[in-house]
Amino acid sequence: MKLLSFIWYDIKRLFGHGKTAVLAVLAPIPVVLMFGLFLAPVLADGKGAFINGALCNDDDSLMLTMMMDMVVDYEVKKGNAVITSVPDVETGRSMIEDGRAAVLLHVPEGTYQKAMNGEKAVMKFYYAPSHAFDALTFQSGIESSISVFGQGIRVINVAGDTAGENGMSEAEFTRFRNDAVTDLIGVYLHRGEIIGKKGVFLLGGDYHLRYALAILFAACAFFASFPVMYLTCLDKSGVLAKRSVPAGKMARWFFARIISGTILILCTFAVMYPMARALRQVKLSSALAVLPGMILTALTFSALAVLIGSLFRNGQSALWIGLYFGAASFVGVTFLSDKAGLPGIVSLLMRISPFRASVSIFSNAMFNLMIERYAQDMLVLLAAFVLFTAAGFFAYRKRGVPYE
Amino acid sequence: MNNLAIMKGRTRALLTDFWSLAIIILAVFVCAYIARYDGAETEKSIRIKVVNEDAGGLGADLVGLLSEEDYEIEVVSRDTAVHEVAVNRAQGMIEIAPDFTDKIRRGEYQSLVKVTVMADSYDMTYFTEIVINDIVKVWTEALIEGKLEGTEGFDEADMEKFRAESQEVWRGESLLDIETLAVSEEEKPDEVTFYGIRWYAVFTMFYLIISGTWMCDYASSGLLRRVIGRGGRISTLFIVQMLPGLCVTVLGFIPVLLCSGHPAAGKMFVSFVLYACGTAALALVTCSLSGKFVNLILSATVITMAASLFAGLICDIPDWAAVWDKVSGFLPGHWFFNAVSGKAFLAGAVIVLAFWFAAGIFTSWMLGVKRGRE
Repeated sequence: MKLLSFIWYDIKRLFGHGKTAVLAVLAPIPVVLMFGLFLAPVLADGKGAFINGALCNDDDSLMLTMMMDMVVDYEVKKGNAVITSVPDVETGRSMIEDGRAAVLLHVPEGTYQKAMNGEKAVMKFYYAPSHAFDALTFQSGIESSISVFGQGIRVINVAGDTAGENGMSEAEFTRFRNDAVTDLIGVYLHRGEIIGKKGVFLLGGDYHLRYALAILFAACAFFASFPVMYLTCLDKSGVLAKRSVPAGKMARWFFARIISGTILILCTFAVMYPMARALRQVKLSSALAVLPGMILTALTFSALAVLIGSLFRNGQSALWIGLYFGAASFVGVTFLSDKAGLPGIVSLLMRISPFRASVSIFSNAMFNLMIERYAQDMLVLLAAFVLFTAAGFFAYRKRGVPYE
Repeated sequence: MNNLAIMKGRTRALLTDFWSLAIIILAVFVCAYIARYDGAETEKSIRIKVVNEDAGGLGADLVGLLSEEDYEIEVVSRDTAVHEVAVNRAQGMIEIAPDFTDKIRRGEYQSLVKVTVMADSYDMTYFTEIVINDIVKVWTEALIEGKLEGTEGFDEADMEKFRAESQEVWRGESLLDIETLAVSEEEKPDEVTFYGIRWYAVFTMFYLIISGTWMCDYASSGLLRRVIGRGGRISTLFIVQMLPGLCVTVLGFIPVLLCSGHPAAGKMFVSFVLYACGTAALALVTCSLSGKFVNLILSATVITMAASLFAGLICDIPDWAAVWDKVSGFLPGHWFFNAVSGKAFLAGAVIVLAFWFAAGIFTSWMLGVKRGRE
């Protein structure tokens, strides 16, 4: 039999193993869907925008009205938000209660003048509990930036006081302050441009979403390799142990298993992609850009599954080890990989973990490609693949060869 | 069938099988640790590399401000920064442009820095916002200094005074603030924590489901074939086989409960026993339907995750998804979560236990009929 025939035969065995392959491929669906359900309001409302809100501006100062108009106009044009102006707070609140808006920002009368006079002014941000996730993300962004804007005004006032002590006249101070505030508003309205981006708020506020999505991708791909583990173990303790298999055929059998396992895992990716696209508008071109990463991830996980399957006589023991390895990798990457001050060995394990490299490829390269990181992660995966394949082949042959 | 002998054999096997016992020991340690340190402050330390190519002095001021944030900041060369991010020794890098100071002095703000962020952590969400805010601070201060420099009678001592006062302002509160309010008819109850107890319950479900792996072995020497061959009941055998594992999980719960400091320890213990029994009955259904060991492993993971998430054991259910709270009523975890939250649980837990027990008897009977025909 040629290698291709071996692969075809093995695929039929792997996929034809009752409901196992179907389960392995379809298992990510409920997991990703559950994740998606947490974000359901974000996905379902807002006509595709991140936030659907109402604005009640009771402050009639020209400067603040102009500032609000510019912010709202930009975010609406960019598609980040759908904003409806409302005449009073009650109308805005009823819109939230009816589900027509997720948030309401109320700017009370005299807010701008209060801040200019050095008094504290408080705006109110109402949100629907059903939109706690997106609303509070939005609120954190707007609050931190407005807070700095308010501090900037205080600094201007401090400068005015110091200048006043040095004899600056009232008229000069007013001109000084107005000029400085105008400049401050200018930078505030284009704060995204400071880092070379456009927009005012929410600059990169979805890193956690990308990260969680990538962890799910990698975890589901790893789980899809379980049937490979189990079938390899069955073969080792069954067919290969009982029959005399020539070394050449053994090698073809081995590589056919890795390739068929890779195809099974790639099927899982194919199932996950449409859901990922629904959750976080992943462009097809971006997904294709990480296709080499996906293939290498699938190859590495498949080689690891064959290695684990080859090491144990009992299929259940192999699955236990696979489960422990998967759980440890999952916990490590989720809770430890970003922490400084870890013991050296843990830190090293995190860096060379193929699971971490895979998560990194999905969370970074698919959204914001940094070629050096991508290349490094690919190298980690490649090294892991070579290592697992070599060790797996050794273990595979060790059991089969004595019967030659 | 000698049920007592089977139970003894199962207990012996359980206590000597390292791999299956390890998961419950590990779960006890991890959950006791979580229960003990639930809510304690943990140090967050995201590593950020800064490339300061600024020819003036304001880049250093920015680094100073960034160092006060909740990140581990280190100034390095560009090559080092790229390498550190590439090998996952840093989660992001900030490149301060060579003309950073010049641009600010001219009142420009476009592309002052380049921020590269890796989505390697949940804590990176507001990182870019924080960097921008710190730059706005430097920019504002420099802008005003520039204006003050041209003011008559303003000397270096005045400037130092202004710098010191503005530092106080940046550290203090803002003149503009936002009060956040949820629009809701009801008062939002306090968040229920006790994650140690809740996550132990999740582990328990997974452990109990995979404890039924013997049901997937239908070899000639398998217990299942022998029981069916002799006309025995699978459900009875399942109970006998499950009891030792059930006792181990209940015993393991005690240290977790003690570490958690839950005010109603007695009620919690009762609710956990009911939860474990209900989960064991759910495990009987799962094992009967799985057929193969590998199917059981795959479904155990998905079922545990789904059932625990919907019941609110893994994390709190979002406010808007209150419907889950009602729908999940048929899951044992729902009532256990009620017990953790101090709500009524007894009647519901008993009914759910009865429901899953009946379902387990039915599915195992179906399995017996199916296997009997083979």
